[in-house]
Amino acid sequence: MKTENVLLRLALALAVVSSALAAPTPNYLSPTALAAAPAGHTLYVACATANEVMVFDTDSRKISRTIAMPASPLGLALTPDGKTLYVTCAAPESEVCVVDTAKAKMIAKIPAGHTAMAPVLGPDGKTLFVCNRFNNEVAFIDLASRKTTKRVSVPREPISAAVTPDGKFLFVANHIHAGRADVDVVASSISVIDLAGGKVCKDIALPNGSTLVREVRVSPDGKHAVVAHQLSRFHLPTTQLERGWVNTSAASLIDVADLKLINTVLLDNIDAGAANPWAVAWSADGKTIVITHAGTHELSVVDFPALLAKLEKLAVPGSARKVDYTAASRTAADVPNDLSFLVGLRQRIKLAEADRGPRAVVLVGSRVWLANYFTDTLTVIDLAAPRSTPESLALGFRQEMTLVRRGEFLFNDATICFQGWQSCSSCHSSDARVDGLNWDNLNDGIGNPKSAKSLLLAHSTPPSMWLGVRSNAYVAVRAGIRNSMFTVQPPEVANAIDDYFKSLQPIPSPHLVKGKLSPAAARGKKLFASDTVGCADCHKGTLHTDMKLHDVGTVGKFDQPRDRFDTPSLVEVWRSGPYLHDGRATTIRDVVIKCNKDDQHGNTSKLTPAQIDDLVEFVLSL
Amino acid sequence: MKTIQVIAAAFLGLLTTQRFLVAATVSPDYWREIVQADWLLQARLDAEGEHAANVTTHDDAAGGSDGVTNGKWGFHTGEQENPWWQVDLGEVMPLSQVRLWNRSDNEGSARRAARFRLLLSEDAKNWHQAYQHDGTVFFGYHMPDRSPLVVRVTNAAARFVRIQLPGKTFLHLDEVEVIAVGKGGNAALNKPANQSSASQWSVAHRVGKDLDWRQATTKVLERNRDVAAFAALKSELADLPAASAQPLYLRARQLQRQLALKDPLLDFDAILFTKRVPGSFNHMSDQYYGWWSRPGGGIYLLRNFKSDAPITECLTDAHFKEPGSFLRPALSYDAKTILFAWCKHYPQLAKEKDKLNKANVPEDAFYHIFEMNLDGSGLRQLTHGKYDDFDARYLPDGRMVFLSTRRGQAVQVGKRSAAATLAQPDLPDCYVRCGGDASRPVAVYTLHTMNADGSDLTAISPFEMFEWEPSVAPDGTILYSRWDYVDRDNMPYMSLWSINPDGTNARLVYGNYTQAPHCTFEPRAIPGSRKIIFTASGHHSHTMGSLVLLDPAIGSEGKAPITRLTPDTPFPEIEGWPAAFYANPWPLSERTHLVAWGVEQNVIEGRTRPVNGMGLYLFNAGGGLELLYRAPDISSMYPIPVKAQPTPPALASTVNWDGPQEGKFLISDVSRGLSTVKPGDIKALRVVAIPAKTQPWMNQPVLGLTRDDPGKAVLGTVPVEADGSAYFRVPSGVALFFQALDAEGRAVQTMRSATHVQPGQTLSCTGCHDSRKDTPPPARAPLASLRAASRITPGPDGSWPLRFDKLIQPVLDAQCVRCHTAKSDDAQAAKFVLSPGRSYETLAAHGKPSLRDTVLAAYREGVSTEGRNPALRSSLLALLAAPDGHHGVKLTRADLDRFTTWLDTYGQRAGAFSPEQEEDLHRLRREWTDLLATPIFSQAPSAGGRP
Repeated sequence: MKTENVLLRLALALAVVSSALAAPTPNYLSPTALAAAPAGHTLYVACATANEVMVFDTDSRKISRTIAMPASPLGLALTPDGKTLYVTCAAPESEVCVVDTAKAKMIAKIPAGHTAMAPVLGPDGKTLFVCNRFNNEVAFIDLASRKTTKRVSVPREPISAAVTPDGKFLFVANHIHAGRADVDVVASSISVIDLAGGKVCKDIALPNGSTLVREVRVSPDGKHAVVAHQLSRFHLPTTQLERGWVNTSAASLIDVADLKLINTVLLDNIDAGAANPWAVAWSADGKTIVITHAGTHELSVVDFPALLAKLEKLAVPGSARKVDYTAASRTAADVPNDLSFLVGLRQRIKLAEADRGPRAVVLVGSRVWLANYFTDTLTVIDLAAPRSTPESLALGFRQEMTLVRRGEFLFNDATICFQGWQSCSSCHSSDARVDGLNWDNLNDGIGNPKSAKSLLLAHSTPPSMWLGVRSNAYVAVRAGIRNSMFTVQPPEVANAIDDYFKSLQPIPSPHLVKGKLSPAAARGKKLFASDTVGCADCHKGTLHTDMKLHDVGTVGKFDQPRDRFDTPSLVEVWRSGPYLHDGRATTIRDVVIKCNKDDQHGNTSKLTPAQIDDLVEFVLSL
Repeated sequence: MKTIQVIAAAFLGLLTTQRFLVAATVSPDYWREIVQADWLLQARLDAEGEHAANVTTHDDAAGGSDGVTNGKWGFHTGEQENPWWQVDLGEVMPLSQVRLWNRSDNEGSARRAARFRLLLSEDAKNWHQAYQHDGTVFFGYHMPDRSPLVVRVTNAAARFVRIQLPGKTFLHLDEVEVIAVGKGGNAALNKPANQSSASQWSVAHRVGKDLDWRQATTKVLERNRDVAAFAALKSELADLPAASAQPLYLRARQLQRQLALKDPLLDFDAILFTKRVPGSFNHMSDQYYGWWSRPGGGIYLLRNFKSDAPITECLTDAHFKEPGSFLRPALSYDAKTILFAWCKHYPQLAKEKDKLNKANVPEDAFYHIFEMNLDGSGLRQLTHGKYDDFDARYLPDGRMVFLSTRRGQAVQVGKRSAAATLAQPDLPDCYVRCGGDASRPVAVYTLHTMNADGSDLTAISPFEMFEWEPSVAPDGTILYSRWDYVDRDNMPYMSLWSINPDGTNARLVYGNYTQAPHCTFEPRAIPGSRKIIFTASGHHSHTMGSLVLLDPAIGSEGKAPITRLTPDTPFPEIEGWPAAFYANPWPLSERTHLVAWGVEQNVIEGRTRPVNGMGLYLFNAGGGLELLYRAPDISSMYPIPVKAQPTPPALASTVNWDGPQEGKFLISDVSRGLSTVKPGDIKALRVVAIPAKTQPWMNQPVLGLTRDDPGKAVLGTVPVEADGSAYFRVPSGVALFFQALDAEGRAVQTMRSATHVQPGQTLSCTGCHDSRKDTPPPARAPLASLRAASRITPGPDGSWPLRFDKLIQPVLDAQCVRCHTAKSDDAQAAKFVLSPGRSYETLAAHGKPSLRDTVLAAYREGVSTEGRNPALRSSLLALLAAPDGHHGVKLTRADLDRFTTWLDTYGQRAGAFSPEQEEDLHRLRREWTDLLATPIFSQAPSAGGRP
């Protein structure tokens, strides 16, 4: 670490300690991505909330340089020669920063889309593939011209990508599914982009209930891809957590040659969830997969050849192979529900108390390096050592968490949950928005599943829950801990989560043009506000809600006839689909056209198609 | 059989001859002697274990002259013509007496020796008979004055003394003593002996023989092969003859001990433990009743335990002046307070013939729960009444969980039933189904919770059989053991369960169908691990046995999930009886535990265990067993490190105790786990309540066919949707089991264990007999969950409560008896009498397999196999349901339903244990009307049917 940085941090840390009242925002690092230099002596650490990339020397175990970034660096890609580092700095108008690693200097910036992340270098070194998360697209950036030359649309929120060594395919992880939620099968997919053709050649469906996909990684030999995601049992009322009744954590294996899902294995144990699987890495020999559990602060180390062999042994329906009736998995179809499948094939390592929220991992030789988002630390584990004991290394000064930061941590922390099955973020994603699923919570009776709501502005827009069963978000947070975490927590846990929710800021819509309404949206704004259409009658004010319950003609077959639904705020509605209380509408257009019987939800039937376009564009710009 | 006791006795003798002070510091010299004696004992036990497999006639015969009398056989020949035993006195001497200690553990065995002959010889070739007994049965150890049969001989000199039986039989005596003229002592003591044959009951009695100390030393070195410090000993050993290796063995053990006591896991300076005499009735259930207690002991702290001068300090002497017994303490998470149970000992109480009448049992003769500060101050009694309360554990939310006989006879159990025990201190208990009587009532104890001050007492489990030894797991749940035998063998199913502190979500952890071990007792989660340690214990024994490591991640049945930490110690009873037992493991890591250990031998059911068998040890699964403390006169048990422990999370409860006393079950797909049925084949679930037994005699009243049938009340049926889902309301706090019914109402699969819900709870399960390793598969929302919860449709008249005379006999009376009487003109029909009083036996015996055969086979099998339930296999039902009827008699669906219900509930004669209980069940049916739907079938049996 450079001296001035040390002093600055020290000063900030002291300021926090000395001035409890007007505490400045502490300078948290929040390491969120890692890249290892070819020889393995250097690690690059992207620090999401410090807007900097740290250069970490693995021999001296010290930070040698710090490189400032213009915005939150969410992703790193290092050229095979180690000379150039590409850093995706996420913003509504993101930039890919090009760093000369020898000089530790930024030498260029390449414009990118909304919330650029997960940069991947093509094997020929000519193209950088970047996920523009909120544009729902993958950008092909030509590195010679430093320009985006192609944009490939994918279903929703691409969040991670991996290229095959032969440069044929790019596997792209869609964080959330893009369809409606009130159907039997709801799952995110892995989009496969044929790089030569420059388009998606296949969407590989993950099993029903797959959501909050985090990372996809291709094996060094290019034969397999592994995906870390959640497997939600959203069809069932959330009566209990035992045996993975609500959320389970999974790794899906993909056969690259066939572009097919091989199977999905659960990472939890019978009596111990492994919540929020996040980052994935392969060992260089392809024999080991490591997966971080950001919710339970653990690392899974999986023997991949053994796993593959066990999967291959399973009888497929109709085959003559002998079935092992003592095993929970008798056929391949049983595997995604088998909490014991990985027994003997996987080591589950708990990180030290000082290391919370592992969100990035690299494997260098036999050493696993993890970046811990909430504690500003790295963890190193030597898998070749007789005992794989995790060692914690501080990246900056250890700082007390502010209430907001602590709230964000607790929101993402599955250790406040019974047996570590889930965290709050297991249904609201890590930034307190949505998972795209309907859940049948018991607070309004059984048999009436409703979509998980974004928690942005939750405290400003009482009541809470679709039927308003909680008078406000304070009550809802406490009920959520009791009824979803199934534990009793000290009051400060809910207080911190309140503060975290209250600190959330809306992300500017990707539909804005240079931060402003497009002409179409501007026209839509007038329609929205007009008395004839009447949207603003209920979606009123700056929060676009009257905070009341209404019947907008959406009472469904599982609802009580007298049910009335909370008017949701429309702020950031561009990213909170699927819509309506039961997620029946995939798009805002569906809300306005398909799901607005008798104009009970605004007088939209008389609008022209062009007016509908304008109205939708406005709503999506909020 | 007795040699090990000799060693143990000698060892304990060493203890007794030394000086133990009251608040005692043990002198280092003395302590080193004790520790050394323990090492020698362990080496001998180890050697005995090895030799036991290959016993010679000399080895076994040595038990007849080893100086040990205990009422058991000291040697045991095989069954043969004229079996004999003899001892070689070493030289010819004039004899005055031969004293025979017969085995006295049962009269039948003792009777075999009644016509023994005493033969004498100088050369072991020429024998002459000096005496023959007259056929009078004689005993020895168990005689009131512990006296042997004395045979006086005159003018007899001999070197060899032989006892021989006439005819084909076994010879087995406790001890034979020979008194020479003019000498006081037993001339035969430890002299070489021999016998005509060895048997499966033979044991190597090797007292006096030198151990192979070289081998013993090698074992210690092998155990520590990775430790450099042992290398020097190894090279020394190479040059030593076997007999001279004992000092080296002791040095190796000394070194091992030094290293063990330096283990960083021992990051505490004191151990909380209990001195106690095990209860006088050896049995897994009876061990915790105050009336079997034996006096002595207290709650102690052991300090300086890593040094040569351990100090003990009694916390309870100052408070408990009367003779009594202390049970299993618990330490608070902050290590500041302790919980324990105590009862006063009444010497005559064990002999009380009528313990059912609580007027005969003083209140303080029951164990009650006490709390005190760790410094011995602030003693307070938390429970009262004529109920045994014990094994209390602190819960994370400040309440405590404990075991109590307060469950009582209530059908619906919860806060109200528990409160009744506060209002009335002597409510009757409920009892085990398989044995006991008024002098030995085996009262059921189950899990209860209460506030720290003893208020808000709650029975959290309506289970009608025993629950044992709770401990709080790191996830905030309660691990415990329970004895589940619904319609199956009572012997082996004491399995490991887990329950939330509010009494919701009782679920299997290990061994619902696993027969070895019998008892998965004393479960404790291991710190820093996901594994659990437990004591594999025997049914007819106190809690002690072999130590087992369980990995629940692997599974819940059989051998795969368990690792034996003490492989040389068999699982008691199911695998044999060990000489030395482990108990009370307190895990420090997966391999290192504080334990109680000691030589206890195989005390049979109902007999008393040694008063001083157990001591405290540091156990390492590598084979290290280091004595930490042992008292000469009394067992030391239940070690707990005195240090603060992390408090597990408090679990949120949604139970509404004040609301309606009902809950709901949601089953997502009953066909999941069934292999022969398709979704949609199962049309309904039968819900059966299990009322507890209200009196202690086995098979009284005779409820059915298995001798220990559970009480049963068929609450009725609930519908299953086309996708296999079911969602229904049931009374809370009632032990229930379900049966999956086909379109004809016949059970395709039945539960062999009980489940329950608490007020306001909805409990979901995947399916019937689904794998415990599975999560529910994501498919679609269960159809049943999308509608209101079903009410229960009551079954036919006579099914709640279950009564053959009301369920079946009316149909027989209306349809069958006119032909099937003893007076019938039809000779065939007359053989099959269906008139009241005889019909039950007739129907139970009908067909091949008969109902009796089917029920008893399933009882023995223990596991439910789908498609093998009585109604589906019943030739009787097939006959009655035939399309053409039976001799023109065609039963209505309602009538057939009566037979189906009766057959599938294992053809019981009745389902209640007393008229009072039957009245209770009627009353609850009236109270629970809101849970019940109108019955589909008419209640009255149809009268018609004949053309």
